Amino acid sequence: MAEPKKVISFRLPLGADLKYSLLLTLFLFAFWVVLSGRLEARYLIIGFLTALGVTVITRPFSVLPRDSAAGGTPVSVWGLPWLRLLAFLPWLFWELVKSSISMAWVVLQPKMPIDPQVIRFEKHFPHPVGYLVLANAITLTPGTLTVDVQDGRFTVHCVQKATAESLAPAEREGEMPRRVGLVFGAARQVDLVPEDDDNGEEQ
Amino acid sequence: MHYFLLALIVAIGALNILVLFGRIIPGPTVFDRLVGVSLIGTNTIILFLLLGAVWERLDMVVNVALAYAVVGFITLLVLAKYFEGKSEEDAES
Amino acid sequence: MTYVAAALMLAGFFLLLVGTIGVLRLPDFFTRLHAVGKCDTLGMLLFIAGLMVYEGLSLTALKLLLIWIFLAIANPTATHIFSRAAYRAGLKPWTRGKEGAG
Repeated sequence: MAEPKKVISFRLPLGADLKYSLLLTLFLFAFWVVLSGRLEARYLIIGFLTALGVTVITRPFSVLPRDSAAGGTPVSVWGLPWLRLLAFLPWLFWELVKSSISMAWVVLQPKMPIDPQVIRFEKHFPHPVGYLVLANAITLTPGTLTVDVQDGRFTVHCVQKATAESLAPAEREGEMPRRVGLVFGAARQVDLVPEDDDNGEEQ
Repeated sequence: MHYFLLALIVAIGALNILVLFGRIIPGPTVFDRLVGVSLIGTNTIILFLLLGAVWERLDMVVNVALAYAVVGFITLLVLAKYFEGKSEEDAES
Repeated sequence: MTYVAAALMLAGFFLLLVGTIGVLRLPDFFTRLHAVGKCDTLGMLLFIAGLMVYEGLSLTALKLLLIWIFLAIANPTATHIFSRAAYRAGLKPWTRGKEGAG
């Protein structure tokens, strides 16, 4: 592939994620209090300084680059649509229950009814954590497992043929990418990538 | 009776961990072994928490389980990253 | 309340056993990962939820909740890391058509 080299920027002005940094400090402080379980002033001061130090040290890791489809400017990890994400979780948990039962059914039958196959589809998110959430959600839903994610191209391994079609039907968008897209405000529609036999994308 | 049932569950959990060696030792690729090891890790956490509940020292055991979960996750991450660059010929055996 | 906790813990334990059986029985690495990624994750989550119900409202339950959240994020991620590592190392998924290809 003779594509021009992409310039990936990790620089984010300090003011852009100051709110998230403060919230992270408070969260880590609460974490400290929960773990230590002591409320003397000495421990609280040590805990607060530790939380502040961790926030300052890990700030470079919390800046994520974005691909050119989403503007190319970096973004903070913590700038998520938290409320919509929380509303999405119960549905995900229910899917996990269903998938575990179906998997248990497959495993416990003497003749395992499996017919594995690999499918690919493409989906882009404005926020990089969207890829993480969709990949984990695919892993947790019935009969599918995320194998690889590269620039928004998902490679998914399916146990049965029916589950492959439920995730990425031929014409329209599958249920799972649609819901995650609603949470994160997807930038682009799904394009089905035809199955080819080369093993992964070389880079 | 209550104690007997708990002991039975702990015994089944320990057996579960032992049975997983049936995947780690023959496992055709190194990744099969990794999966077996990760399952042993999670089963150990569960068994440890259960033993904590049996001993009524859950408050102590919980801290150890949290640390064990984090360290196990990071270990598996590093191992998977290490074997990612290996070819299939290296991965077998 | 104890019965709810016991039911949750037994269900989780059963799913852990199913995960182990799946890892032993399924034919190739990717299908084994299915068993790990689903049955084992839900098994652990149910088990720890049962322990939380058993413990009631306390600092210990809060710490169990931390373990719960961590495992809920870490376990699918670890599964995904394994599958990606195996895929990039050149492992071919087993299919029904060609027996013994994996």
